[in-house]
Amino acid sequence: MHVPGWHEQTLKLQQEGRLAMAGIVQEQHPDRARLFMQWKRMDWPILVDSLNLLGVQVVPLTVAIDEHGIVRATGIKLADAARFAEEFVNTSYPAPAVLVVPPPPPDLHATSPRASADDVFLWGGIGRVSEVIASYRKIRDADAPVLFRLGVAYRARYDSPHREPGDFQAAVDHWQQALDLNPNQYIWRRRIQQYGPRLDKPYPFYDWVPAARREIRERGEEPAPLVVEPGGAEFASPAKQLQAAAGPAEPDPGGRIHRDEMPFVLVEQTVVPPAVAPGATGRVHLVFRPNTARQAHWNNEAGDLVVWVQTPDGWEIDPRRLTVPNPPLEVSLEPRQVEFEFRVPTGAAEGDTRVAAYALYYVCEDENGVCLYRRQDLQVRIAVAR
Amino acid sequence: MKWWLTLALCLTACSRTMPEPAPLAEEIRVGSPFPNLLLPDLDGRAASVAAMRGRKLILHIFASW
Repeated sequence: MHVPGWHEQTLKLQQEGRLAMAGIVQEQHPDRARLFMQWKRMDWPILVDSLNLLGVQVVPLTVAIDEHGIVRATGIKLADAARFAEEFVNTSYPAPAVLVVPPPPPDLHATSPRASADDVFLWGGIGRVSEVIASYRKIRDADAPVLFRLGVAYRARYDSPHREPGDFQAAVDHWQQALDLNPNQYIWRRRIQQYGPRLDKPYPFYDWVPAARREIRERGEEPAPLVVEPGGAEFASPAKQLQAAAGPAEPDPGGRIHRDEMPFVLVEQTVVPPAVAPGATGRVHLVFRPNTARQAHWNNEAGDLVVWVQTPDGWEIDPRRLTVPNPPLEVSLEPRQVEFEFRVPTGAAEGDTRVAAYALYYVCEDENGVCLYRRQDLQVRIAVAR
Repeated sequence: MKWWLTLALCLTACSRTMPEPAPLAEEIRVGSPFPNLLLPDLDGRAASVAAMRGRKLILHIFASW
């Protein structure tokens, strides 16, 4: 791996105080980088650039900066790390005519709308994320980076207590709009692929997390906590084809389970990418949350949450049956997420297709103190577009 | 340049609304300072690459995926 390899090959120079290392992460969830750093025992400063303010289009990108703050080399390969580092520390560079000074403190009253939205996102706290979204929305026609940052802000709100329905889909939609304007922006593409179908994945994104936690615990340390646990798409490996043929039994084929009319459980759906071409694949994320307005919670003493997805003619669905195991608690309120992939038939017409699905779950509600087994029918809207 | 011409040009330029700053794309250039951005560290504190000057630095722009 590029960065741990650099760390290992330059460790002696770092320990001698002749070379410093630092990082700038381009992730939506920087706490995952903290876990990664702990796992690889890389104890150096990390800056967070979730908005891609640097405008880098590829990672990893290794940059050598001299003691005066001047860039001396970029894109240095891991294979050259040891040789380059030795030469770099032994080279004297003249001081520039104008000294590099650190930037001024954050200014939450910047006059430029974009700078203001960026600063409030970075420094204003998650409580102001809706304000950031409103600011980016006003200028989203400006250019692709604003669309990307708007997507980042939507996803940040989705991960926060300030979540509003549709935030995750809005994030994906805006990332896709940005990418459509600049299809060579690798950072933006990865943000979509992180949640997208396996046929479009370059590699698994966060499959290293379980191994990292295990190894850290074996060392007697406590792994750095993650604010948002990676989901199915983020663990999934790339695939060459769907496994649509394997078919478990449908759990409620006759539709005999009573419907959740209240509803006691709220469902949010997100399709990645937001529009899928005929013959291509996509991934659907369904998140189920107990409706706290109904004082509902999961009844974990009963069965697991089960989701069944119907297959429209000519479509492939993988998997059709999904299950979320109950946690080892009598009751709980956590969101439960399932993901499935689909392939649009080659000859499909453009427009919206509704894929029918349903969820079966056990909930209790505190108003009357009853526990119920309920079915909720869903319609997943998938946009087909060439 | 005549003083009145200078003044006229300045008035014209200064009366316009300040443009949006150009995005900091592709601004990492050999021989130039690293882009002077203030970014949060993993604990949310303001930090910058410029503040790390004084030692030779290898900076990795990366993601853990």
